[in-house]
Amino acid sequence: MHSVKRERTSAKAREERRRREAGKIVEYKALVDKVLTSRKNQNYTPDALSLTTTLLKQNPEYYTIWNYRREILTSIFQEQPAETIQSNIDNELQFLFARLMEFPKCYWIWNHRQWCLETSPSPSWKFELGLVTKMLERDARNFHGWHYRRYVVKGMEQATGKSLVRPEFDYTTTKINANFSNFSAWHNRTKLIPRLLNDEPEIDARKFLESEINLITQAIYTDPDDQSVWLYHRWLITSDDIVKLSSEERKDLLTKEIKSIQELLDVEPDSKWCLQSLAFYRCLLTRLTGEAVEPSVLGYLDKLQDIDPMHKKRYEDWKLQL
Amino acid sequence: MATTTTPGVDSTETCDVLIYGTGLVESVVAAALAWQGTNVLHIDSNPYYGGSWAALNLDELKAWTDRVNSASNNTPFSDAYLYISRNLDPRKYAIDLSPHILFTRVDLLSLLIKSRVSRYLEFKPLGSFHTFEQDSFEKVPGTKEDIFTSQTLTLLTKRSLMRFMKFVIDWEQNIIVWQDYKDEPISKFLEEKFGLDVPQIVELVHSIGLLPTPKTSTEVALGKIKRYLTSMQVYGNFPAMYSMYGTGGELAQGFCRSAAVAGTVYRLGTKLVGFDETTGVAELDSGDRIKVTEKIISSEALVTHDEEVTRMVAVVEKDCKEWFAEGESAAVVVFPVDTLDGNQAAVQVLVMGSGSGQCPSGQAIWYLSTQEIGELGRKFLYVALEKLEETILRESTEDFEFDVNEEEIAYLPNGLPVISSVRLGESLRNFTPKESLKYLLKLTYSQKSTVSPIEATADSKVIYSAAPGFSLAFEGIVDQAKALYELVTGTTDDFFDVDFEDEDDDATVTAATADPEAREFSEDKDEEDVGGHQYDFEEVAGEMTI
Repeated sequence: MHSVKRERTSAKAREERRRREAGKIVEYKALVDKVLTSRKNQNYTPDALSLTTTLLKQNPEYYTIWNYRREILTSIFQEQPAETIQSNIDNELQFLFARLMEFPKCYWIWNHRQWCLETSPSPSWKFELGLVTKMLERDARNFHGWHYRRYVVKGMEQATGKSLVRPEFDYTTTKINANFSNFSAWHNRTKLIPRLLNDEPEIDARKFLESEINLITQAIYTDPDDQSVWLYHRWLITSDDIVKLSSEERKDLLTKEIKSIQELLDVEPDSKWCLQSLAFYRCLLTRLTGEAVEPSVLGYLDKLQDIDPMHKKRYEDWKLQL
Repeated sequence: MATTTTPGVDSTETCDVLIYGTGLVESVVAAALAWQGTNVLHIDSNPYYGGSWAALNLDELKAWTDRVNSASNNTPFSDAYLYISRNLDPRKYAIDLSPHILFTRVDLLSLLIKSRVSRYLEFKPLGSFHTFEQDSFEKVPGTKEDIFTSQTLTLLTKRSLMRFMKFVIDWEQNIIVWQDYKDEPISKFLEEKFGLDVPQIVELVHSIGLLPTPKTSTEVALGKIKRYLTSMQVYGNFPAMYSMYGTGGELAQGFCRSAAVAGTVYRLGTKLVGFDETTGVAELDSGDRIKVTEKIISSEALVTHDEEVTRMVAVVEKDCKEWFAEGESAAVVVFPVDTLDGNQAAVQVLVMGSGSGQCPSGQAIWYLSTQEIGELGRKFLYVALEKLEETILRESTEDFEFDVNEEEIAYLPNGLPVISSVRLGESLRNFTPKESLKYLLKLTYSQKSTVSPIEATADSKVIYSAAPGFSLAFEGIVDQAKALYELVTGTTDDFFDVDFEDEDDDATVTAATADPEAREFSEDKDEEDVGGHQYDFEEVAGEMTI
């Protein structure tokens, strides 16, 4: 979880815990053996399913067991009519819901859920959207949630034939206004904007770009230490997927943004992202104009080596490439 | 509460400590002493709890006004003028004599939780703080999100504000930054060190710091500003709370209840008429004589300081919901220095809607106060009252119309129409309301500060507690209580060091910080219904300790 401190436990407490867990480890290993043996014997009975349930409750990260579970279910479903399959899938989804509450960031749980929807005779996209919205309320920065949301929205769009770009775009706006330090929300936005501009041709793409740049600049000035806003800014300035700018327009845009970031650097001279972005954009501008690289870029890279010594070599490299 | 007789404390016997006055500080001390085994007799000359902190119904308020204006007035209050409209049901009102709000990150709240007195109370959120600027109430930006989404702050202002907020959260550690400005006015510090502009300084000083003037010293001011900012997000999107039915009085009563559970005897409507220092015998107006073996703590301070506050209470026939955040029933409005034709001190207003339990629905109580005194104080309170009246009528009216030309409408890229805010502002300023505001009650009075307990020594047989402070937020209550406690017992080590024996004794306090994510993962709350919600404090008790 983001920026939550780890607990410090004393050596005595650790020893206590070790003893308690030793017994549990023996039990767990026995269970794993049982399940893997069952799989080796190609046991696809409801009993085998229960075994995997027990094991997965303890350790949902063990993806092999999820694979086995899918093998069992597939085998069971072969003989069943659609309604029974649907009801079994619904139970499976319930099981997954409880797992998700406990382990919201486990790849395999989300993956299995996706499999359930693909296997379901009639998936309820509306319910899934509600679920993922709830998960994102609990943790707006859970990229699993955002990825799943894209999947669900796609399913919904295919089922209804209606585009959901506008409400999804507005959803990212809501999330960003609540807390703009959110890589996934900005990323989702980048996926939606090209489609949005396509779906709503009455929007003036250039004006839209301008208002997005204004939005991200507000964020940059509010918290220049947040990396996610700089990434979005870079996408806005350099992407061809929003508006096809002419070379002149691109140069003007870069110049304008360089000026804006420079003003910020003036009040925050030690801002790593300001320096990096300025160096990057100035180099980019240079490539477009064909002029020589400005000495200020070397200055930025020197400063960066000072304040960000962990990436010293990278800046060294960069300097050499100029 | 019925008076009980405990062995050792009845009408002709002894007690260790006699406490005179059931104000908040005295009540905290009573409980603290009682839980450590001290025999306490706690009396109050009023027929109600809370003393100068009490919230009174209208009958009690009338009696109080007479008392305050009489020659034998021994309260910190004076010069009370009261108007009450006819046909009001006196029991439907709880007029707070000394209104206070409780920030979430103060030691009083920690004590409430630790002592479990919080279980006797119902708290409500207060997240709406406004500054009166240019004829309207501006909501103060108190979080990163507020600053980010603000349409009125410039980019550089946003940066300066954020830089200041980041600093102030840790200001005690960053001494080099403010050392030279320690005793200088906070406004000077904010301007010179952080390049903040007047509007931001005004908001920080008055609505976030709740300071009476921007001349307050930097060292004092930074602590107050930090209090607001760190109090955000502890329980939700609000920095402060209040208790239903009048905070001070309810808290006092809560501590009295706790003290009673620990064995304290209570007698209301009982005056202390005499005390013989040599024999240690106190005489009550009932004729009873009590031998006090240790000390008397009295709220009837003899010495008053020059500091004074002027107060006004107005009950209006409007629910004032336009001023409240969603799900809340209260708001704070501050009129900064020099916004009311020359006021040298701010006017602070606490607006209590009917959701606070202090008045019937469809009405609200406006509590105004200022550190300007006497005639001048009242004058400024009346000017502020007028502004409040104007604003609420304007904001709540449905008769508001104005014409818009096509040229005055612009369209955002997402299609939303926007009207020029300058034009809107003009129309609002020229608006004259058709209706007038109905006042159901008006009360003005003055309140003095009294001697603090620290002026007594360990040898004094009688020590005095201080009257309610002038600040809108509870401040120093625990410190004052501890100081009194120390004068009695000689130490503060065992202050409320109690082991409450009960069933739910699992120390599973998980959400230890103000990190909203950490909080969200340990609570299983589905709905964030903030209004009227009984907060489960002990979940979030966490790192606050006494």
